[in-house]
Amino acid sequence: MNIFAAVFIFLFNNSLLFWINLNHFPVVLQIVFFSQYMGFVAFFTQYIAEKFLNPVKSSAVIGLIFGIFLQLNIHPQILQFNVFTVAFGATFVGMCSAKFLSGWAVFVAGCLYGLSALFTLQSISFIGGAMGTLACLCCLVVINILKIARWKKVI
Amino acid sequence: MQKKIQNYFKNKIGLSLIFLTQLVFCVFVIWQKPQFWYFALILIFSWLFLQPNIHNQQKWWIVLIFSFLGLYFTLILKNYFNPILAVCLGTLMLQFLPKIPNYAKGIFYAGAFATMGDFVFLNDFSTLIIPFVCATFAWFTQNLHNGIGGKLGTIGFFGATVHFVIEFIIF
Repeated sequence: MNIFAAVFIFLFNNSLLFWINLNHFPVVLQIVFFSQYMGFVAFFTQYIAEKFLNPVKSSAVIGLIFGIFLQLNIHPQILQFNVFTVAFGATFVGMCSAKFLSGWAVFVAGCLYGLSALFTLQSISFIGGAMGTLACLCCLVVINILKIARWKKVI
Repeated sequence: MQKKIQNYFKNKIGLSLIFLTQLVFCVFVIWQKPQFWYFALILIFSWLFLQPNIHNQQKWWIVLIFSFLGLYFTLILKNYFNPILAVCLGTLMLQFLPKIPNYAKGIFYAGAFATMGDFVFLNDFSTLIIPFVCATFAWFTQNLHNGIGGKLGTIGFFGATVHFVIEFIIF
């Protein structure tokens, strides 16, 4: 994935998030926006982890930015979800090593995480670590799908 | 030879624990919202190909100390900040301390995740149970899922779930 294009789209996403009330948009659009936002967060976490910091530092730095926004009472909502809270979970997907998932695959895993978070997190978030478990499941699913695809190509 | 056998059993127990955690996660989701029964299919896809990789030698007591520190510091910071800021601040502060092994820094993060739920409090027996469970889980799974995102969260989730079961279901 081209990093400049990713940065541009991510900045555009954030400007939409801050300046427009997305709750008035059709539900399908909100779901798509939510999923791809999580995908980009996961992608940037992995990019920073691979280029500059280790995965834990990278996730913590991005989480710190979200935490500061939340502390300042800035919490954009999509489908009754606090976007920054769920996005902190997407940083766990980005902690995946490039050995297992490339940039595009992490983006897909992040999107899958965002999609499944919409359905699951409301019922499970009262237990700590739920976002991490969901992130782990999403990473494993994408890794296995890629493995099956490669295995079929070999055959 | 003895170490190989020991690692074999450690990996088997670790795999079962990870599977149990993910199963519990799915059970919780389906229990709360039965209409999402198809979410359980994710378990099948996540368990097709798995093999243990590097054989690390983590020390259980170091893991225990750092998971306890993660839990305790985050609970203190949670009094002043929101949970996400508390978790990230504590973890980042530890990252810049020298002479601490990398796995201990990771386990600090796992201990911090366990506090993100609604019912983990300071001065409660959760500060005793959760680090113990997290450390044991992390020690058994030290050869598994290395480099896969969300492993630390899974460790934290297992600790928090065991605490939830003990405090709210048994007592």
